[in-house]
Amino acid sequence: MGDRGGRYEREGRDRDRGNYRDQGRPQHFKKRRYQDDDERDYRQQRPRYEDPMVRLRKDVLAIAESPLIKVEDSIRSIAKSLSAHWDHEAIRKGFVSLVKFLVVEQPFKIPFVAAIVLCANAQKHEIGKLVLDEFAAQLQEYLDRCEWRNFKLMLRFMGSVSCMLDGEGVATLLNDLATLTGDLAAEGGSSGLSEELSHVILITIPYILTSAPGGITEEFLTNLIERIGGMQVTAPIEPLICPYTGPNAPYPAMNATALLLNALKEEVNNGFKFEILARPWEPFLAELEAATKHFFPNISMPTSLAGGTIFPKLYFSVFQGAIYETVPAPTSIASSILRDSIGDTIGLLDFNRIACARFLIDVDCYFSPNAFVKRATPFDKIAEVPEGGSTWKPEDICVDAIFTNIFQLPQPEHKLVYYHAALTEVCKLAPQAVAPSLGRAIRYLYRNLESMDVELRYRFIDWFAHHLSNFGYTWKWTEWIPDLQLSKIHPKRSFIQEAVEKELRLSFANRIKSTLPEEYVGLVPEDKEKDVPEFKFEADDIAFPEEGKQLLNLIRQKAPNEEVDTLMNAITEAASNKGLPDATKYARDMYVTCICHIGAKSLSHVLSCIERCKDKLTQLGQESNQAQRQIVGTVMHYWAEQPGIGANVIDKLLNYSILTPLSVVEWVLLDAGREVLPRGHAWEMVNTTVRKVVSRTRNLAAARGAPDLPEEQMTIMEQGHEVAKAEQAELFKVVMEGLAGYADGSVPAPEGTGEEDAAWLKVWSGSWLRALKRQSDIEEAEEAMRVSGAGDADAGAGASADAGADEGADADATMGEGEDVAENGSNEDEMKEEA
Amino acid sequence: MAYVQNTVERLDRPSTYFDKSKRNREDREREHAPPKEDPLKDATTLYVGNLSFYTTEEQIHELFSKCGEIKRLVMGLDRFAKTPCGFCFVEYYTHEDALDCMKYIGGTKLDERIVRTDLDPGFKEGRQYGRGKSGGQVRDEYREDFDAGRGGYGRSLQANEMGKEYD
Repeated sequence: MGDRGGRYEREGRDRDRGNYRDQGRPQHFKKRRYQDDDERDYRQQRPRYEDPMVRLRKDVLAIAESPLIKVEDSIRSIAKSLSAHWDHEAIRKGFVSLVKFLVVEQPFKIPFVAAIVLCANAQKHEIGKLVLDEFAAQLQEYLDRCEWRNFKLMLRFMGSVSCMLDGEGVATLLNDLATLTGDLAAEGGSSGLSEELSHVILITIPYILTSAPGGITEEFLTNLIERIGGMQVTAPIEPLICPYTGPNAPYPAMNATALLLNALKEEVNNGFKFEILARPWEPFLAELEAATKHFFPNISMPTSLAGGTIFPKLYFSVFQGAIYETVPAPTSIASSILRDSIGDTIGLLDFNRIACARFLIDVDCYFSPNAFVKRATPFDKIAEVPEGGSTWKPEDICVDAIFTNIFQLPQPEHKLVYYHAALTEVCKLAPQAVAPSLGRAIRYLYRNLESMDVELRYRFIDWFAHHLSNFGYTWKWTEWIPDLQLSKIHPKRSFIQEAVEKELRLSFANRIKSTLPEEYVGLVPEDKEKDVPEFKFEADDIAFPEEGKQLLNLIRQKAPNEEVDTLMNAITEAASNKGLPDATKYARDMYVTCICHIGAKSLSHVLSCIERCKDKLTQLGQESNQAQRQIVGTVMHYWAEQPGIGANVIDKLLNYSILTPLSVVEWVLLDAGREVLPRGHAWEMVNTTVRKVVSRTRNLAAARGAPDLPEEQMTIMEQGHEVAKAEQAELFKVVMEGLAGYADGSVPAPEGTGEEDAAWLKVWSGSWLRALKRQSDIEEAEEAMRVSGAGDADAGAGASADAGADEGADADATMGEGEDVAENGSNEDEMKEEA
Repeated sequence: MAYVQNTVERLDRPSTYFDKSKRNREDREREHAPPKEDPLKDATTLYVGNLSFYTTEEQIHELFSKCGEIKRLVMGLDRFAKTPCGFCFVEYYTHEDALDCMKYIGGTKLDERIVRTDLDPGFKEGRQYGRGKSGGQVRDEYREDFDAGRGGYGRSLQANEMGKEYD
């Protein structure tokens, strides 16, 4: 486990040159029986011929990856072999397409790829010409399609080869973009596009200024910064998407574009140093200046701007305010550059999380040689860094970037589980280096739980439990023991409880118990160990115990409906004879409890049971809204010790339209009441339900806008959309009113609540209110855009809106499609019968 | 070009398992047949392997629903004992969710075992049973290592051991 030139151990074999195909393939994907083949070297027996394109591809892909190879040498040798083989069409085509991909998949390498092209152009000017033409066409395509990230990266490449561009190079393009941005900002900038474009323009500037000198002047860029500075508008949604609120927030809300703009203004005064960026072209400067320059084709602005809302990105960090500055200060230009570049790498490489993790771990290879402290430098050793040296820990910067995604509101670009997986991979690649960083991150988040947005609190729990499940559930639980004394509704105590709860859902009680200190035993009561909860009618201290057992048998034995109805009617009659209030509720509660108990063994058991009894269940629910709320209550009562399972069952009942979304939300907020707000399952139930409703409305709106829709269909869609919209509005209204009453104290806390608890309940209610208001505002804005934009806007979804909409779309597939599930469910039914 | 060539490998491609099992037969049957449509093009189902025999549906649901709502979950069962035998099928509502699952969940741990995911053309009745001689999965028949989560040593090894004293 030696330190090979400052790299982490573990990276030996697959990093050897030429093995790029294996890059990112996890070990377990290799069949054991083939492993022998890897060891024996067959290649020696074959003629030593290698296709030049294969070789070129390997070399270009490996550029800057290894600190053992001088990047200057790689650039020179690639440029040389490129100009030697340029006559071959395969090489020309292969190289251009490879580089096109590289720019939009591995943005770290852009300055290096640019240096290769510049160098090759100096040797053979046809190379520069072809690359430029092809790239300009691609750039235009990305612009027309409004693919802003790819456009930005292509533009960055163009800026980095300024030195081989005629005249002012990309200056005209930047000017046109600035004009477009100004126009959009003048319209109010509600779609977020003007902010996105500002960011695209601004982030290109450092790369232009650190590339080989070209025709674009500092003066021009300084003016450009000024100009963009004059067009900034704040999106109305911004106050609702900041990660922390309240007086104890660890740092104020900071908009990423505003930070970049201010940092650049600062740089204007400092003389544009951008020390963080690598300058791989420097050794070749003399050659480059003598090289042929090419005409930069005209790029025209897009005719239509498709795409949904782009939400502002707010600064998020888990290493702010530490005694050592392990990540660049938010106001520094280095922070903006790194966050943008690492953020893109993470966003682009979701199709191979292992390769992504590799790049993150290697981040120090792609920037200035002394930009970071040596890898895996322990936090307390940073004090030993000599005066003037960098204190930035590459591990911290990577971990920070992944957390920035997990904690991005309203939604990150990809599903949250991608970022979980990326963190897992980073930990697997360099455990000794990353684990301590992660530990500090967790402690930071935990310390700031009180000010954290409620949705983010839930994401934190979800990530934490999932992460631990990949690493043997080991965590220093002992350090939180004192917090176990806190009130159960204190955000920290609630975090501990819910994290354990989530762990239990991924594992089982005995296993989790074995990983916790003794003091935590109370969090995993014995009832949680039971596979199947007690059937409450087994006890005598309940109304109608005998009837309960009878009904269970009837349903279990699939007795005819008449028998079930007779029994249930008898119970209702008996209840009303006894003068009990709301006489129908006994039979209803009993029936639903029986369904739960019969289906308690597993999810497919309960599904097939619901499927079999769905007519009766539907009928029970249709009696009234109160009845539906009671059904929710019965299910959650049955699964009180494992509320996660209860929430799943409720979700299925929702899919079968046995329950309405409104009844689920009303049960949580009005029946279970505010005491349930600190619970993870409560958030899960409300969040899932609201999302389903929202996505159905969105899908109907999109379907309505589909071209070539016959008029009749159109009317149906139109009506469907109106109904969905009304339902959604009603849902949000109920939620807001309920929560507002709790939050402003107009509905007093239940009797016996202590003063401190009452205060925390207010905080929880306020936090929930804010999170749901965010969703509601976003939907209202979307709808407004649909009405005004009519067509264009809702067809596609913008970069950030995408994730949310997608998630919604999946959920929507299930609403009211009980039939479909049913069909499949019956298969399972048979299967279980056999079992 | 059906597949663009990415600069790093994609994790959301089907493994060679699916190709191999079909190729031979098809080759023999019709050599010059027109290229068939990829049966995994819109796949929404995943085969999930290397589970512990003790992992429950709820645990699988908890992890796999992180990639999207699950439409159906079919546990793999021992053909004779009708008990879980270490694999399952997870069906999503969309192809995209299934691909995401390949990318984000395949190769990560569930119940402290690294699970394997593979795109699957869809569950059919009968496929929930193990195809090994003794009812479980073939891989558990001749396994030489001890795997507590999957019934100890391979079954045929165990069977041999048991009969040893009579040899």
